[in-house]
Amino acid sequence: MIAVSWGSATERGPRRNNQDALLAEPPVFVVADGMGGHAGGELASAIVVETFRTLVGYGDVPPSAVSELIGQANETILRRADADPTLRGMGTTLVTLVMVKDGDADYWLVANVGDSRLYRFADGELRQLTVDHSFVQELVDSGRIRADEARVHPQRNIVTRVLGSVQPPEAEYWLFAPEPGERYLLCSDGICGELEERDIARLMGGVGDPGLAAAALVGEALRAGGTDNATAIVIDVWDAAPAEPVLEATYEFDPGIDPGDETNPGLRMAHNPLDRLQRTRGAHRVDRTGEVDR
Amino acid sequence: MSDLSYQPGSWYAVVSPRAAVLLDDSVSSSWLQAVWDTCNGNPSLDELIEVVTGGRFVGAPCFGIALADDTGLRVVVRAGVTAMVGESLGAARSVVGGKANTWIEEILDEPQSIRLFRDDAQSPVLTLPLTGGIVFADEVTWTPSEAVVAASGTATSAAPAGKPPTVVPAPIPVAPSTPLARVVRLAPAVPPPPAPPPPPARPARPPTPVSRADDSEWSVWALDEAGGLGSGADGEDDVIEPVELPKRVTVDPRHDPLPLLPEAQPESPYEAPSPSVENAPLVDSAQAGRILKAVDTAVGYLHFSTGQVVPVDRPVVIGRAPSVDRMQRADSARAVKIDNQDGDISRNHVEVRLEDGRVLVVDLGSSNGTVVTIPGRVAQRLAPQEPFLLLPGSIVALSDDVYFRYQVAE
Repeated sequence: MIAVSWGSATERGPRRNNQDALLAEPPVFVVADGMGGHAGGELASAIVVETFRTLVGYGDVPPSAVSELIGQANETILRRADADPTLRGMGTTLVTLVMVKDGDADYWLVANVGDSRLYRFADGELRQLTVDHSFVQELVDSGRIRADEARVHPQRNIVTRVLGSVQPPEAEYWLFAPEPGERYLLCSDGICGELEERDIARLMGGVGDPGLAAAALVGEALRAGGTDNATAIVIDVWDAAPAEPVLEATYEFDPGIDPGDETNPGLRMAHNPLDRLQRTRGAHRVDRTGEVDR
Repeated sequence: MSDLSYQPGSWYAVVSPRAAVLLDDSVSSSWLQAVWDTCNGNPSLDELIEVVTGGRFVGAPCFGIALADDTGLRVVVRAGVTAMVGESLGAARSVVGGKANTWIEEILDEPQSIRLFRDDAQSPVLTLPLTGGIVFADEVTWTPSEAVVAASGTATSAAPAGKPPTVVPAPIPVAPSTPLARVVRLAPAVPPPPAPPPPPARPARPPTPVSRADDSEWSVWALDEAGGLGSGADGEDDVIEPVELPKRVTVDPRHDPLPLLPEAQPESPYEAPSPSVENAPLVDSAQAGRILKAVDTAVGYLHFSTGQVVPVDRPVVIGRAPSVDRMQRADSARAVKIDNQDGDISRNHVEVRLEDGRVLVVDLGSSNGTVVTIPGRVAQRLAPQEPFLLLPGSIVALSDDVYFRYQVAE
């Protein structure tokens, strides 16, 4: 039996709106980072999330469904943009992790459009699984800049594939078997654009509860000077449902953070994670352990 | 074409310029249709055998095949069928299927007539001429058409393979009680009955250079017990015993539509979502049902020693922790995870590919290698990354105790 537990967090940061949207309900996890003026960015990412909500609770998702939904979301965004001139040009990234069924076995299917990312953390190692569809990634691929220069490159915000484009975007897919003990992070560039990989790895490895890990990642990204919306979903894979509530798992927070700073969403949790998380519904959402019992 | 004749009976004879096939009466009409279509293409022997047997040993009919291909004449007989060769050359001898679980093959150098008959045939009452088609027969005498013989030995055949010959048997000057009315007429305009799809009636494809062994290796086929295929003579022996696994990814075979929800469940998994954006009918819920349905278009199946059965409708990557990266579509490939305690199976161990209708198996550079056993032949270790034609019935071993068998779809 495979079980997953997960948690998520999103913050608008210094921006006026939060154009990120997320969906974290098995078997589907989505992070979408919207772009476009007025309400466009928010709408585009919300359309993706609502389209993928079709899969929620469904235990027998064929991989092809994910391709279909990406096509549908793209068309819906285009249709809405056509109908309302103020929404024209809106678009969104998408990174999704879906548990799909093949025969009698479950597999993870990852789909990616744009520069939101999926990381896999296992055996103490963090690995970026998706490959960005971005201008700087193309520079890296062609050897013109190094990978570590991409994060601070002035053109780092240019995305080369996006949902909401007339030419249907080509998503890329990864398919692999789930392995107990692994942990996944889906995030917008508000996280991976601000934190270095070793910081992401430290929080992924150091915070036991997935909801708190997600909140810690968002908190640290904003504290590091993030100017963008920041969104994270953290998913743990177990070979059976954990016996104890995950929220009581070991929780280690970076001691360098000032516990008195109430403006930092990552902080309060260090004192009373449950209380804080319940009171800030909407800003942080920590889901209970979900058992995948098939 | 004057040497074609048959003796009426209860089995089937399928006769074309290139091939004659005698089949027992267990086959369906769609099966016959597939054999007919194949005979009228330019089949290689293994293609024809694949279609005649339905791609498997279990339940395969008794059959005899006479085939003219680019290299000469070939005769294949299974238990229950005997072929007489050399009669037209004045040196008659028999090729006896005898008790062969699979079949006996012989290659003939010179053009000649071949007579195929069932071993338990009644003594002949009538010998009737025909030009081609499918007839009820216990015996058929066949000579390759001259056009085919003339073309043999050349790579591109001039044989009229594209168009089926006249299907109507020659007039039969006998009493109405003879099997005249039982002749199966296959007019091209008549669609095949809506029976289960025929065995792989693929269009003629070029002989594959991938794995054809020397002809000498093909002369006798016998079962390789070491491969675990079983006797093959009766149905049950051939089933691979599922191996008890200490740990599997899933334990509950129910396809419960809502197994994942920890709490409140919606009435229907397709329930229209509540859009968070006003006036936004975002998802067509009628479509949701459609996209959540998988369609089976498999050309065959992989039967694993672990009990898994995996359809081959797209590339299949098999291993201890298989992964397929950067696909263009979500369903570009399949992954099959094999639980492996000993660690002798690699993460990505072996792949089954589809290429122009052929099924290939490729070792993905595994640490311990992959061994393919075609029934009756010496087991063969795959060279890394080199595609190898996967013939029906082949057994592919990933380790000492994990293997799968390829079977074509019915």
